[in-house]
Amino acid sequence: MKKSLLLMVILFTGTCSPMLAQVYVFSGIHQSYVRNEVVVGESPIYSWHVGGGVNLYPTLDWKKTSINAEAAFIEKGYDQHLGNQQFEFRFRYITGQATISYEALPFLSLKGGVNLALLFDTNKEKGTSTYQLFDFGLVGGLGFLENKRFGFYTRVVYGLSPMLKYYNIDAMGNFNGHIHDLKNTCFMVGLRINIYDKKISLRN
Amino acid sequence: MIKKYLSGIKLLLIGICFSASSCEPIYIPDPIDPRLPKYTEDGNNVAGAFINDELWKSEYFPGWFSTSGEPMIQYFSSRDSLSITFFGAIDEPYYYEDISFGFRGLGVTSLAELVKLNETKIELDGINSTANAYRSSDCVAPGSGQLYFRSMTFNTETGHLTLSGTFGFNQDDPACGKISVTYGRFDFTVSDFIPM
Repeated sequence: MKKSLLLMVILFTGTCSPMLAQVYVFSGIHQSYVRNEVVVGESPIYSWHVGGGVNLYPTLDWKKTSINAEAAFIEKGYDQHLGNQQFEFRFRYITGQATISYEALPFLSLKGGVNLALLFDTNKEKGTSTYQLFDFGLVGGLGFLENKRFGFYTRVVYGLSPMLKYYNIDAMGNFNGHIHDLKNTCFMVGLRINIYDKKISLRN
Repeated sequence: MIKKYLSGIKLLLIGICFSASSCEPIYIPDPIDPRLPKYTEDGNNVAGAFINDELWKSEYFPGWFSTSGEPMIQYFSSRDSLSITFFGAIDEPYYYEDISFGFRGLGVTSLAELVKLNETKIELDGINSTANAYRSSDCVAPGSGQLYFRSMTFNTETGHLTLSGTFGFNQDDPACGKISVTYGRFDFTVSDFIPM
């Protein structure tokens, strides 16, 4: 976790001096589920996210490559069906994301980077003490029409750190170490609106 | 003067409300199987298990004027035996069913002495240590399995014991058939100890 934090700090501090190119807001929907080996009867959920970001170009010569920093609110989770009962698990995160973006085509950008999320609320009693507060993952995606006022994006956030650290208790009550499991996966699509776009005005 | 009384009554009401709300059992769902309470050691005043795959729950509501569901801990000095009973019920269809444990020769004669059992796993052999899920008064066969007192802490200032642990056992009763109690866990803060 410390290494990932350091990487994010380096990415952000490295972008302090260059020219600002784009500031944008975005919102969309996503499918969220957890990869795991301990929960049975789980199914994905659909929810929404909203956030804002900046696209920074390290130098004026870098026309196609940029560094992207975003912050967002996102609800992740899953449903669990046991017998005739359904249980909803919802986790609300504030995320920070740093990606490298490459403009492969005039209307298409490829992105890859890291995503760090802070759990601030759940729908379960004392949920923030049951689940891990930090969630670290990789992110990859595509951006469409990012140089226009309105663009679109699709991305995948692939969680690497387990959300749950809990006792492994068997049927007779023996404690067999700890479970480190439940990793988030999110497929996201949404609309992006540029609210400040210096890149476009330079080209014009 | 009236204002002074009113503010006093207001404070009293706030105090009562606060006391009442702080005494509710805290049911944190287990992250693996949310039908059960999460295993905790905080004195959340809940217990849960599956009895023949049916959910069993116990909740203790302490209060100033009346309490319900407090685990009963009894000591029988003539036999040097201790019994612990969790009062609970099966969820669907709802009916009362208590889970009880009995031990001989543990050398525990008071609530404070129960901390001797901290981190102790007791094998329920059906002779010196037994368990029973009281499905009906006819179900008397002693259960065999395990009870694990994982955390026992006694607060000398309040006189309260927080007992947390897990259990699982099986009963094969001629009248009631096979009873399997699995994934049992409890986390209570209690103050009563009944010497007999």
